[in-house]
Amino acid sequence: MGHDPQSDIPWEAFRYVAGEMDSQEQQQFEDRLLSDQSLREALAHAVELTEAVALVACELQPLEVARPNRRRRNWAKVAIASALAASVAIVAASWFRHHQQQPEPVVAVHPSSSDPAYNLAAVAMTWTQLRQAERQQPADDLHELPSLHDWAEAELDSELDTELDPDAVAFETLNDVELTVPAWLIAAAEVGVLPTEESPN
Amino acid sequence: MHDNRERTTQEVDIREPLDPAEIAALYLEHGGELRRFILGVVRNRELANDVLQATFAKAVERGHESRAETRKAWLFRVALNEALVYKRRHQSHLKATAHLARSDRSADAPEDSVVRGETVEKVRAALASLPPEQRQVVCLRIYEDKPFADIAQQLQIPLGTVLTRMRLGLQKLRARIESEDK
Repeated sequence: MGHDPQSDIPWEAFRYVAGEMDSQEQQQFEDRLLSDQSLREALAHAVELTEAVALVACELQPLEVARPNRRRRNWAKVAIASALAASVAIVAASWFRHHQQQPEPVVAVHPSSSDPAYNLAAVAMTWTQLRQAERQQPADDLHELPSLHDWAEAELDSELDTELDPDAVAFETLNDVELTVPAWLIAAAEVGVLPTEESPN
Repeated sequence: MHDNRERTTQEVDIREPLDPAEIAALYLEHGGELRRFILGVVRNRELANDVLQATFAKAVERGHESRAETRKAWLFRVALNEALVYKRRHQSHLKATAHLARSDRSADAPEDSVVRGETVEKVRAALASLPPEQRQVVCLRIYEDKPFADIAQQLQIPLGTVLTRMRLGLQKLRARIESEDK
């Protein structure tokens, strides 16, 4: 019904290249290759297209593949924030103990570290002190450890690199590929005899 | 017998063997496409190079028996015959190395690359312009080398839909590349 068999040639060639034909179909395809130059050229084209897609497809991952990265980034943020909060709590607890024990040895009753009010106060105080210390620190010291913002920046940079410079080396190499006549062929043509089974390179 | 000899002398362009410059020109003009074609048949880069060499060895030896205007088709036919012989001879090895999509492209020497730089550039642009659902199937099938059935299962869509998306995606890629060639 108006079906143009020619339009199926590229699809058939792709299926052959991709190994999507059963042995009988494959045999039939090869039989047709013996007499159909357009089918041969379609096959060469399918190989090139397949190879090229395989080379560049990694740059264009679909959303489903990209999502885990975002999730991972969110989890990383949560993990870092949790670790920071825990560190602050520990530092605050030791600081509180230290300062309460030294100047006021007479005080017999220390607030328990399991007391929520005590912990909240410790965290609040330590946070304030850390913020103040941070403001007083020289700028260089601030960059000793990556902040959450740095992590995000680093990830963005690497993504940016991938986008701006995809396969930089490979692509350069491919661009440089000029088909040159191999030495074995020149030698064979000059002598006019069948070359031995040497590597074509 | 006599008739046959007469027809042979009429049909075959009896000349001296092709000179090195003609062979080199043939290689430069058709070598790349032939290598891709052969690779499509044998699905193994090393074997493809061997077959290409054997093909041009035949061209050195008997290329002059073909007519200049049909020499490309002659080369392809020789390449196919050689490729099929090699393929049968190395069947077990070829099965072990699996198919084309799984072969290690990154290990290619530049001269063995079957993809031209400009094609990569065109495919990159064409792939980006595909509708996401088609690009997704194309990438999963070719880049991740997943069988269509697995893709259908992963995306929870009918197999027919996967095939349609793949087919449309390839059509668009091809059309885009060809339109840029013109």
